[in-house]
Amino acid sequence: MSTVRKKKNWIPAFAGMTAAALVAACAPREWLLPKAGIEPPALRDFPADFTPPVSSETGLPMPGFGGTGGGVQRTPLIFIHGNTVSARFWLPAREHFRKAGYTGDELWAFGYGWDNVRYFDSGDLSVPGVERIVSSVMDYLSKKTGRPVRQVDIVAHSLGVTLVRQWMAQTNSFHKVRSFIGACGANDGVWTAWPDSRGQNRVVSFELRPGSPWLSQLNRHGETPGATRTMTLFDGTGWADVLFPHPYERSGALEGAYNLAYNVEHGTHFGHMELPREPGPMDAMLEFLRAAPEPPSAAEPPQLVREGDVVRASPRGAQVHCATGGAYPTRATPGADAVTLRAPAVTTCFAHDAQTGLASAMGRFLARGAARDAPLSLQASVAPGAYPQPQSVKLTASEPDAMIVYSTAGAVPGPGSPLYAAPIYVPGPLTLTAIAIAPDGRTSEPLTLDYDISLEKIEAARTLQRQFDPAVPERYQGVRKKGR
Amino acid sequence: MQRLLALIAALAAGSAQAGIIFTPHLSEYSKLPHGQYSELMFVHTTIEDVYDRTGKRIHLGAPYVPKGESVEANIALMKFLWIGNVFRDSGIPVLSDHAQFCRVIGGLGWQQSSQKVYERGRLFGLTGGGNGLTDVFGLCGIYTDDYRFGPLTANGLLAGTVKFPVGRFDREALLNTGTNYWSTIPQVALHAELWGRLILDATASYQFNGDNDQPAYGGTTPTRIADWRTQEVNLAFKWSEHWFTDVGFSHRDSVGPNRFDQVTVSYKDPIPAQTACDNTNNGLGVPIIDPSLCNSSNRFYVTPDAGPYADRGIYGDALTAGVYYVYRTSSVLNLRVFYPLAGRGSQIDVDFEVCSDTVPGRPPCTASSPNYVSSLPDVLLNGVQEAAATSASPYIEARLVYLFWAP
Repeated sequence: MSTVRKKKNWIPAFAGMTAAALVAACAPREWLLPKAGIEPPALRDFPADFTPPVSSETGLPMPGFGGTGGGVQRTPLIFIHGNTVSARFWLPAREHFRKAGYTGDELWAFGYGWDNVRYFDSGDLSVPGVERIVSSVMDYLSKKTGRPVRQVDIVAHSLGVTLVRQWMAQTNSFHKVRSFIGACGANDGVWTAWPDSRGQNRVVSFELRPGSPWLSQLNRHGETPGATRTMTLFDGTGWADVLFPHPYERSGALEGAYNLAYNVEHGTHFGHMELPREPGPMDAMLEFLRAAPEPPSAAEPPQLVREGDVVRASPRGAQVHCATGGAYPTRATPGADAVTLRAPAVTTCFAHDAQTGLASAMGRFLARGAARDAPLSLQASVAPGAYPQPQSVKLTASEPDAMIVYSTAGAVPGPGSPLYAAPIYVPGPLTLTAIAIAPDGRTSEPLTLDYDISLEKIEAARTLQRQFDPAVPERYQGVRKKGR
Repeated sequence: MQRLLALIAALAAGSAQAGIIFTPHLSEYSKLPHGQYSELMFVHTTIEDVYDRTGKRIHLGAPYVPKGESVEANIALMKFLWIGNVFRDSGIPVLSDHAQFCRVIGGLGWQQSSQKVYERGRLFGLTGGGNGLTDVFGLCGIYTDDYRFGPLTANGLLAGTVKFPVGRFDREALLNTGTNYWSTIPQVALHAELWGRLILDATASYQFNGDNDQPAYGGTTPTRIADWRTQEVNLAFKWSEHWFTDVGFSHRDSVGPNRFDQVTVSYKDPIPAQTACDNTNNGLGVPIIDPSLCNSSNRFYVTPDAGPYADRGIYGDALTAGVYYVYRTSSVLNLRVFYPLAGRGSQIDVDFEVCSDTVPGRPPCTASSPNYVSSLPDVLLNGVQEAAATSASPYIEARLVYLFWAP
């Protein structure tokens, strides 16, 4: 108990303490501590000879864990977290998987984003980060073990699910993932995402709102492409995971996957953040992963080979799995020794070796048409530049029978890249690169378009000065604030 | 994607401001996502009834003020909540893996009295309402682990609140927005959810109150404020992602009596004999002079024995009921009614000496004063303000909770 005598003496001191506390509370330590010359503490449980990949969102080396020894006896497992958290989210899973026999070298997780509820991550912004994660793990373990590590398993949660799916599609990396487990993903949207969201959550809300063009693009040609084994894990009751109430309770499921509505099946009530980290669901993950055969260490992945209008796999013994009309072939697509291309349909194939379990990258083919000399070109309906709202970019090839493939991951697309079928939705700042491929094999020059969907541009357009006088120039410097 | 519903409120157990009790709301003690939250709360009450020291509901100011009079209090509270873990990578046991929170609460109050209440105060040179800044509450705490028992999930929290007496405090006022004494409030709380639909929040706290060396309203606010114990529970039901309803129960009681050491209430100006004989107009509820003096041409004044006096302690039981609308995940609108069920207010028996205004300078009246007229033992006075009065009138709350970072 204390007694006040001259309370007014406390007012300045109290006001100062309050101001300091508010500054400390409001400012993320990733911003505050460097101002004081202090490196923010972070989870960095990597070996000394491992260089963590750089986050495509923060521009900083990613925190996380992995490569802590024990050797590599099975396909390495990478955990991909969801929005507003970091690799630390997976520490209970690391412990559980270690007890199940995984080694430190086989378990990896990276904080690819902001790790802060104030700065939201997004699918498109993080795709390059996932590419770096997978490459760095494969490269490091290949060097460490002296044999090529060609595949990884991935367990993703929440935003990480759609992020990994987008990465596999945009970088044609289905063949790099042996098994993919998506827990609590917003594959058909999440009710908390809105098309008119503000601030740092704009991009992810544009991406993941139910019915968004971004999700349509992601799902249009198949939800489980390629030879990747896919499992989903979700609530299913509509109550336990508050992000997926009715009618979104099956948003976590994917067509063609082993879909486990865990709470429905087991009578449990695990919430959004609990589901992938509880022993029961993690045991279900382990069971799914163990059911996949390990490729022999010396095995080489098969390749797609085109001979005229016939596509086959190399080496002999592997099979091609093909689908027409733009759809991706899946594990359920019957395999064949060879497939003959039929005009005018686009045929999409991958090669799969049942003996090794390895697969090729995805490839798209058109039946050979008559050769032409005219150069093939590509045009976009929306010029590159800064826009306040998401854009739908229509691509048109100079020859209507050409197919257009594109990538939003910053890479030059190849024949296995996503097939253009409808205007491309650009919800955030990204580089869209597309090429047209004619039936006779001619390709257009890559069309590269930098788009900046910018909140800063909105703010610049709505300054007080401009409200009084619209003639005042809009001062948008094209410099985005971190996290937007 | 950690945007869980954030339905939050004061985290300040059992605190009171101008007779308004802060009680827990839906998911008050749940472990929310790390981040910053803001809340704006408006509370309005018109107090027409209070509890006396026997627990009986009486009209405000009885017996000095006629029935139907009231005081009106309106408070706007601004709250800021931070949840995070500053020790996350420090390796410090317990702190490194348990989220912490801090909260600051402050606001503005506007209060006024009806005419008869104001007139009674003016008789003693006192005023009615007090407007201005409220005290500031600062609290910090730590969440416990999460526990799961089948469909039941639970977490707890430990918190400590400090009430900084920086609000406006007018010694002459019947109502104040500040309190002029410090309080510290250790608190334990529990949040539990069954099937994600039935949501329980419960808390117990103990409020250590400091002393008030400058009591208000003629010393009828206590100088040595009793500590308080508070137990509160709130039960909510989730109808959909957007709609929730809740009912709650609050019990608050003082530990021992409040003590009054500086009773100074006395007439601003000596009153005529006729008024002194009239128990409804002299402000003390009893005739202060013998009927034989009612026709005297003298005027009279009183001097109280400063004390110490002790009341019987206070307590209050109340029921709350509210409805919540969650707009997206960023905003919560809440309307709530607080209805007192039972209580006990503060009343003390004060001894007065009555003197005639026949000595220049009007010195304090004692039994040995040359102008001494009589003694008035055990005149019933009501304790006032948050530490003493227990309102028996309902009030309504309107809240807006906003999350800076949610869509």
